[in-house]
Amino acid sequence: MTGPHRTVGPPTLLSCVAGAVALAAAVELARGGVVQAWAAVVFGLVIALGEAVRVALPGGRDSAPIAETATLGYLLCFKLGHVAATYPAVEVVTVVAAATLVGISIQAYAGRPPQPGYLARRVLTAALAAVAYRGWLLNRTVPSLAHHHQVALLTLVLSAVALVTMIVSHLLGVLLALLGPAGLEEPVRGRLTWHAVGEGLLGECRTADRVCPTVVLFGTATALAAMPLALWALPLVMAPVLVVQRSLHRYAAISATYQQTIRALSQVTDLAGYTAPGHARRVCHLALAIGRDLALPGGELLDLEYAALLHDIGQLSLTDPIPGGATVQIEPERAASVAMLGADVVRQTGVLSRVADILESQAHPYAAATAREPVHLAGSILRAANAFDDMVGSALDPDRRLAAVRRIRLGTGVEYDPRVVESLARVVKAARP
Amino acid sequence: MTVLDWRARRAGIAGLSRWMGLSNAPTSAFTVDSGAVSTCTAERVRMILPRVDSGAVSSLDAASDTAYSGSVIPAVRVRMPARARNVVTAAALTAVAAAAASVPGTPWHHVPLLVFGVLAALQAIIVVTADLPLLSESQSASASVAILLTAVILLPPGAAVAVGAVGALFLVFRRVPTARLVFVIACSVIAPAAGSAVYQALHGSRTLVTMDFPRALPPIGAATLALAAVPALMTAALSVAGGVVGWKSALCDLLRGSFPRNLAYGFVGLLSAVLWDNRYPVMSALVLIGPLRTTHWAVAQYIGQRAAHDATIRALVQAVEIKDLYTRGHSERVAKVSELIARRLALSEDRIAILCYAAILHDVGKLGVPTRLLRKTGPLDAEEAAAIRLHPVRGVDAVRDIAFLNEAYAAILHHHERMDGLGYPSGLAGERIPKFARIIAVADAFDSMTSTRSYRAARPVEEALDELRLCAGTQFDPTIVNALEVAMREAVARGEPWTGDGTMPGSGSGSVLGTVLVPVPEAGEYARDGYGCDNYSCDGYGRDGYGRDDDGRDSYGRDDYDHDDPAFTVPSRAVVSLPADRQTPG
Repeated sequence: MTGPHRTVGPPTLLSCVAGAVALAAAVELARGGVVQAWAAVVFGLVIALGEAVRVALPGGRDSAPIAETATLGYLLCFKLGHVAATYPAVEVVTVVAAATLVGISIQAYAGRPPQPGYLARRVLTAALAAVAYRGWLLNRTVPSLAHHHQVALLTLVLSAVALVTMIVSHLLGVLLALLGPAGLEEPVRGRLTWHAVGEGLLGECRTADRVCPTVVLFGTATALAAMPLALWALPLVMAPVLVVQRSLHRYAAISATYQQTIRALSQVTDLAGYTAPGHARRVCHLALAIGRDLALPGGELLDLEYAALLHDIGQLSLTDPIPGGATVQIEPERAASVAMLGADVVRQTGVLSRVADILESQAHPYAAATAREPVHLAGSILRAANAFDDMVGSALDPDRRLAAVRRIRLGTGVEYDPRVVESLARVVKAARP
Repeated sequence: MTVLDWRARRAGIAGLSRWMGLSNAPTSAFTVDSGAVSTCTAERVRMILPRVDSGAVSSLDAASDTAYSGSVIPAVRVRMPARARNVVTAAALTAVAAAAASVPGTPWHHVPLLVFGVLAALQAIIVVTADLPLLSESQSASASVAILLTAVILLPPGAAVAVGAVGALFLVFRRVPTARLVFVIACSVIAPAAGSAVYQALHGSRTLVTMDFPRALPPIGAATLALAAVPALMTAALSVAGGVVGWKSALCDLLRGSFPRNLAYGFVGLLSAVLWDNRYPVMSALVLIGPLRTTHWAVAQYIGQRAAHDATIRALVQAVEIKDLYTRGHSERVAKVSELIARRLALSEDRIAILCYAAILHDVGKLGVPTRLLRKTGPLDAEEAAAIRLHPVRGVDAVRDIAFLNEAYAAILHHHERMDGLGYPSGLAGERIPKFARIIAVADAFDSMTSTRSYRAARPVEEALDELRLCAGTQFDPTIVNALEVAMREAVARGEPWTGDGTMPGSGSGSVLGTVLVPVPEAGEYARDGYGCDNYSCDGYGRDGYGRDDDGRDSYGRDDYDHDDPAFTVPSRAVVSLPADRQTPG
């Protein structure tokens, strides 16, 4: 998970807009009065509950199938039992905003830092969809379709609305991730380019491809089943979504455990006295910051993270530790052979071969690497980050840090990749205490 | 049917599976995970069933296995296949009775054939694409429960049973063994029969449109419960009859395994019936099997990540073993032995998983010990012994941040404690030593003795067990030593005798002469150790900190296992002293 923990930073434009929209909706609702309050309360409760149990999938993506299904259901309902669902768009926006806020607060209470970007995304998505569907489409087409029993067309229209809503939600998620406030874990935010937006959306869709159809299906089913069953449709729909939620939760939990294990085991070189305490973690932070600055896609960032954590594992094969554990200070051949041993260990897992590739490529100077094959960017990043930490260690002295950057800059093009050196300079400057 | 037809059919099934998100089904991912840390319920059922099917063959194998049958450990015939077969037969007879009671009286001209056809087709899709071993343990089982609930609500009992039976018959395309086929079909007949009976008895309505909703829920809930519980109980019965788990453990697994999931998912059947009644047939069918894709994906990811996790832990542990060339594979084997013991002691699956992690990681603290000391063959001075004795504490330091290990910390920390309180690091005695630590201590000693070390050859299983028995009570927990003995006997009976690191005499891998003679221990080396013989205290365990003083007295080894074993003083005598029946590799 590449840093889902954003701390509160300067509010961005989108968050402000979302806040304004939610406020406006609430004010409008207060003026017009709440319609069908019981539905608002029940759906609001389910949404809040779903948000409270939302899972952080690997790659920093959040998934809350229960909340999303309930939101879609609330949005799409056209009849509750024998009564027409007449609640206005502003009511949907207000309920979604309030319920999401409650859910996020519960998560924050349980120890997960709040994410204003996520709230903004949910509110804006709900607002766009509610205005388009409840404000416009619902009054024109849906009742006549339902009345004339054109069930196929009705199902199609509702599913299409649900699908478009989900796509808008993903797009907003990508934009917010790129524009979002920089946190402590991520000193540098990604840069907003078409390429980055495209990559992000593709990544979102790849994950969403698995969860999204279920959400769309059951969101639509809620609206359809609400016609005969009224609010009894909700528990029926939620039972299977709960099963989906649980399986996602287990996946997220084992991924978190995996990461924890790799983090813990990356400390064994510290414990064995081969490296300076905390070296692997510092290299990991720095490498990730550079990777984000260079707009590495999410999957590669994860590989880079593991490679950074495990990059000194090869030193275990040495009979006696290198003084200070700094591979930058030993002769290049020996450093390369240590890196190769480490790569072998990692390759033996059978599942981390991309990580092993990164470990292998970081052993070679930039010039030698370019001569042989297209250079591995993640490897170059790791090489520079490792060299920087070997020179600076845990020291926070800005002069020493800048001196290290200068020293690395001397090796630009020969030892280190120019792109990475520039990025390193930016990151070190930005992270200045 | 031509070969081409078969290929087309298989390709079609594969394509269907892929659409259902089953292409990366757990089976393939588990190949990585086939070792010590594979513990989910489905895995265990997978373990039983092949044995059920090949029961006759495996007991024949055990009987004809010359490796151990004539030796100290008697070959125990596996009772499991016969009892499991009885369960399968009983299930089949019950299914026939249930079908006979419900199908003949069905008013077929009143049965909505479209509903029947769609539900039977969906059930067939589930059966064809489900990840076996057993339908009730598969992720798809949830959808099966939902489909059968829809059938129970919308169709008369006979037709509901027919939906289950027709769907299950498609299992013949899966090339599953007969016993399994019969069992799954029986499950698919008994479950809807029971569900229908319950639904009818509670006066469940078959017209959902006009019903008063909250009042209709109890019969539907009861029917769902029956539909989910019947296959779960039948599977549990099969596991118990298979002899792998006790009743308690089986019921515990049942409640924490697929049963709650199936129950929750079953309510989709009601949603589907409602949608059908309101003329949304497409949605009605889609909600039944739609979420499967997501669930399967998430479960496959889960299993993949878990396998990756285990593989990564193993690889990193192997990195530790680089430091000590003679302990390669040791951690993994200790985990296997620990798992065998834990199964004998009937620990729950979750605890076994944690125990296996603890066993794999038990020596991770040796990373903190200088490589020079680990590879040293001569005697260790007091300071060096103290450095080695620190390794359990350092091991806990290394894994402290891995939250899920919890119970494993104590096991790693205390795996060198002794029952008489003379171990380290805390000097705990008896029951105060955590159970996991006691298990790992026995497994650790057993594997040390049955594999080759720099200063002596591997010893056969019986000798190692004898040695453990001698030390039971003082160093080891007798109940755990007993459990290990029984587990070893069972392993032999299964035809999978313990082979250690492959260099053990009589393990059947390679020539006996070669394997014993390869790691030539010099007589001088033993002399240097202060013993004229190899014994437990100075093999591997000695390295672990039962450190030896220069004057030749074992400072921690307390002499209770210093039994002369002339067989291993000189390599040639080792060969001579091998029991006759073990001269031929099994």
